Amino acid sequence: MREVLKRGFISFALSSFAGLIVNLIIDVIMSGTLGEGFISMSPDYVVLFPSVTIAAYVNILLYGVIGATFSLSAYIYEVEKIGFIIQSIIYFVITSSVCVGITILLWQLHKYPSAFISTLAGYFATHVIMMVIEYRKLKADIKAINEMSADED
Amino acid sequence: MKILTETDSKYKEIELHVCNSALTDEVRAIVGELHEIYDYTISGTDEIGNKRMIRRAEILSAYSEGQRVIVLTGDGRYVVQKKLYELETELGDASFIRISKSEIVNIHKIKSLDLSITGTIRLVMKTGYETYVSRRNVSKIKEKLTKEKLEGRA
Repeated sequence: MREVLKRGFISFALSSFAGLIVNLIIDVIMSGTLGEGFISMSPDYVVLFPSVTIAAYVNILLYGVIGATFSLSAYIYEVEKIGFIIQSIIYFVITSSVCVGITILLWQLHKYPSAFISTLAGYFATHVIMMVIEYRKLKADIKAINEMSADED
Repeated sequence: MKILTETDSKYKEIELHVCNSALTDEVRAIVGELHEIYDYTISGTDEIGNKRMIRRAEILSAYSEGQRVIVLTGDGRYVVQKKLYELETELGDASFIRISKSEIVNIHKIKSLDLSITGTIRLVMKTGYETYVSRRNVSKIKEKLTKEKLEGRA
């Protein structure tokens, strides 16, 4: 349990920090181009909070939640008795649910259906491709192991 | 250094002879290593409390079950007073490999691996014992077997 909490905390902190740096870079660059006052947050998101500062803090924390979700969901891959196809499906459902929820809140993605669908479809397709590649690699590795084990007899 | 393998019905068990013109440090080191490998024993307790010394070569698998660590041999299960990672370090030669967070197995006792349609990886030992392998350890098993095979040919 301690290991889980540690992993969750570290990934939360790292993701929040990375999100902060990325937002900072975008703000600095865009302020130089578009003039002062640019903030890398959707106006529809900002109005949900009493002030821009609170919206920015929550934004950073949500990046942390995304990072922690990806990191903690990866624990499912360590349960050997669950097949990796099932593991991948569970991982996809958890990570996409959290990410979709957060991106809807942060970027108001639900207001842009085509962007919403293509983002989700892209993530799904990437996941399926990775699953197929991994399955084929596993199959090849297992075949090689079985051949070598048979040679030992 | 020459390594010779001789098979003859006159030998009733495996004998290892280290031959040289003098008893050098290298000879002592080799003999020491061989003793380390073949004299290693661990004390285990069976289900009814009988103690038994288990030799390294007898160990099929070692796994954690709750707070206990169990060593599995061809003739039974024995509880050992060690943590799994300690046992892994002590057994840390070419014969043993970690297959999951909670288990290490003797690589020479593996019969086969089997990938199910859902992606579960079942490992069957030569004794019929079955267990599961985590995905990321499959490539490590393959690497270890490949390395051993190449070393065996060299």
